[in-house]
Amino acid sequence: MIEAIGRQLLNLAQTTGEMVRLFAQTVYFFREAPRNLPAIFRQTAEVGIGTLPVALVLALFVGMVLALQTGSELALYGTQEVIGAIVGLSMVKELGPVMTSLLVAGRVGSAMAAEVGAMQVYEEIDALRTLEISPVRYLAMPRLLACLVAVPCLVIFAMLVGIAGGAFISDVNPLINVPYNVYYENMIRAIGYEEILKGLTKATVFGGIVAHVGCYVGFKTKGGARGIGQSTTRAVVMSFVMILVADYFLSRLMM
Amino acid sequence: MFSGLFADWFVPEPHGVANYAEPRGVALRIEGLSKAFDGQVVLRDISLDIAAGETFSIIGPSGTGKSVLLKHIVRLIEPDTGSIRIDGEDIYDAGKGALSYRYSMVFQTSALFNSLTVGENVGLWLREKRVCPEERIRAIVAEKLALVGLEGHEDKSISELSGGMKKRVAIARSLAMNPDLILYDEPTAELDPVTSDELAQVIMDLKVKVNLTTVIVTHDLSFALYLSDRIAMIDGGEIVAVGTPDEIKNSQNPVVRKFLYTTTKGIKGEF
Repeated sequence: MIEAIGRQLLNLAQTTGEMVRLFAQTVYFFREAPRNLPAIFRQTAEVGIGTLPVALVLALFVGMVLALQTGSELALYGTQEVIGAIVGLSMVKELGPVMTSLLVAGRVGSAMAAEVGAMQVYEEIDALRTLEISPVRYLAMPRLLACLVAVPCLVIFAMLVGIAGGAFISDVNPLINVPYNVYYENMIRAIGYEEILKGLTKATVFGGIVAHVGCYVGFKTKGGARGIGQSTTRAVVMSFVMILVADYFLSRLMM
Repeated sequence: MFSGLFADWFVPEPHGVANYAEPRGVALRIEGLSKAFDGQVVLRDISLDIAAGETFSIIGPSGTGKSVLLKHIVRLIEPDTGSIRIDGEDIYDAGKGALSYRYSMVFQTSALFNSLTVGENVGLWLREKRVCPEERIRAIVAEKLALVGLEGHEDKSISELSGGMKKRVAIARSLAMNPDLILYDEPTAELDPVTSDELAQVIMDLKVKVNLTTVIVTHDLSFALYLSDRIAMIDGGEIVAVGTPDEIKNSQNPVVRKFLYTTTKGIKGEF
């Protein structure tokens, strides 16, 4: 029992150490970004444009449900005018960054783990090393930079669409019946630049987590097709856990 | 504890243009090399001398450590004990990027990048290392593809190629580095005999046209006998015989005899 716990702790320490080492290497290669711009743009488009339609649909319905549930409860006490502030703050500070990042983790992080994992299994990473090309610079750096840029951009769209969805439901639902102008006045009073900045800071950190975990798990892939499948699942689970844990600590830090 | 993955990946890539001299062939000396994984010995006290410009094959049954030995030579794996010297230079003492020779490896799976075209695969090292202007890179790519009989295939995607063509593209990618030492890991794996023969001819032609040292790991005996200046047989992680193709064919070593018999028992006469 104690031996098993000890082994798990050692594994955790090793994983942490390797992740820190890989992160340091990836950041070191940021200086090589100018000559890797095509790869960075390609990855940014894959993360941003590829995820945008799903992110917008998700954000729209999250905003609508939030307005519907909260607004109808507030209406019982006659305080539904504050619905704009509630939906706005939720979308900007929590739901926008967290939900979008979870979506990116499921869609892009898993694909990164699968792609890099397949390259590991089929010796392409070894081939890069014999060509004296750093796999970290060639594969991890463009992906990390792409996520650091694309995820906050996605989150901005998600915030706007979610808020718009909430406004639409607040206006048309007879139970809530809060006109657009009241909704927006309340929202603007509650949300300052500081809130937006906090939301985008979270989005940047979460984006980094998705790319870093995807690449790390990919590089660690062993075995054939089964190993690649396991890496895909592992990347999504690790990203989800790390995003939610980081969300708590960032929220606490920014209070 | 953190000495495993990524430990040797922190490689500041040298800035500026890489050296692109003509290949010259290098001498390789392996001395007392041993390697174990999780307590299981894979290579035991391996010592070999390979002359500059020689075509040297390492044969033996699957799982005897041949590919592991090859990965030591290209520094993908470090030995537990022993050394490898290339033209007298210990390859593990030299810092990455500071070597006085260039090596390249053709992998068993070809290890081509599916997201790139044939031409982009072959020119990858030249572009990444900014060896020369784009126009010259295109000319080099065309020249190396012609050397392996694939002229005009630059724009094809990797998925359009047969197994044999992939191997030849992988060879062209290696040749694009103008290597002094080229290593082949099971080049005929998954190829039919006719395609294997075509590939053997490509390597044979290179032997004549390009001055480089070639090390081939294979369990394809006829391929090794046809191509090699000398052959080493490895079994159970140890070198059991070294000699010219004729010496190997006539060896009285029971392990060699058994390997020759089992790999040729369907072919009458020769042995």
